[in-house]
Amino acid sequence: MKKINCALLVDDDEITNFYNEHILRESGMVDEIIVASNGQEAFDILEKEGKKPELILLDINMPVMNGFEFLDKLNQKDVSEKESIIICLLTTSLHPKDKEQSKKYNFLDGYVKKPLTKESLEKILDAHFNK
Amino acid sequence: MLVPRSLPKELYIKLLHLYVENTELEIDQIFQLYDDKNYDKVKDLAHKIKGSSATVGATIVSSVALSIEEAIKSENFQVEKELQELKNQFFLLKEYLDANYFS
Repeated sequence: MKKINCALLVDDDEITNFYNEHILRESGMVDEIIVASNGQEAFDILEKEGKKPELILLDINMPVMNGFEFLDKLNQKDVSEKESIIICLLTTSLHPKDKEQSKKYNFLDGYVKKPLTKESLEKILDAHFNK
Repeated sequence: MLVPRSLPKELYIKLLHLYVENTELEIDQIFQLYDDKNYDKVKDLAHKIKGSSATVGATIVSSVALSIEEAIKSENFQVEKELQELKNQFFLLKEYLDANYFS
């Protein structure tokens, strides 16, 4: 399996970030893990800091800029740039409206239910990094 | 009450400490927001508590927070009972953690 150079976790909840960072680290498949507490911070990490994560795990409900607003901003970028990142929504929201809205982003790679588990992470890695 | 996560014990206890510290403040905030009739923020905070509680395995607290979030989403703003239940369940959990994890 291909190792991931950099993963970006985007969630406003410190507990969730702490836990998800551990799950990613334990997998041994990720070299660098960056944490952002909302969509704006995540976008700044891509734009201003020039980071190029290969995987983004993105929450939907966040203050300042939510997950969908982040995807809208990303949508304005070059096709190759956004399609080179595996982006999965990681959310407790089972609201049909959220699921429906997620379908409008054709560069989105998954909709994963929180909490992230070793198994759900393995599924993501298997599906997208097993080359 | 608690479905322990498969983390190394030391790390799990650190996570639980962080959870208790944050959630205690958030429960104070959610009551304040409710008194201020700021229902949108009550819903957002309930959503957050639901997520962090699910992450640490605090299933009952998480489900009570979900009921508050869902009620407000359906414009049912009479959630005093549920808020009280959230507080009760959280403090029951805290007692359990004090006795079983933090001692």
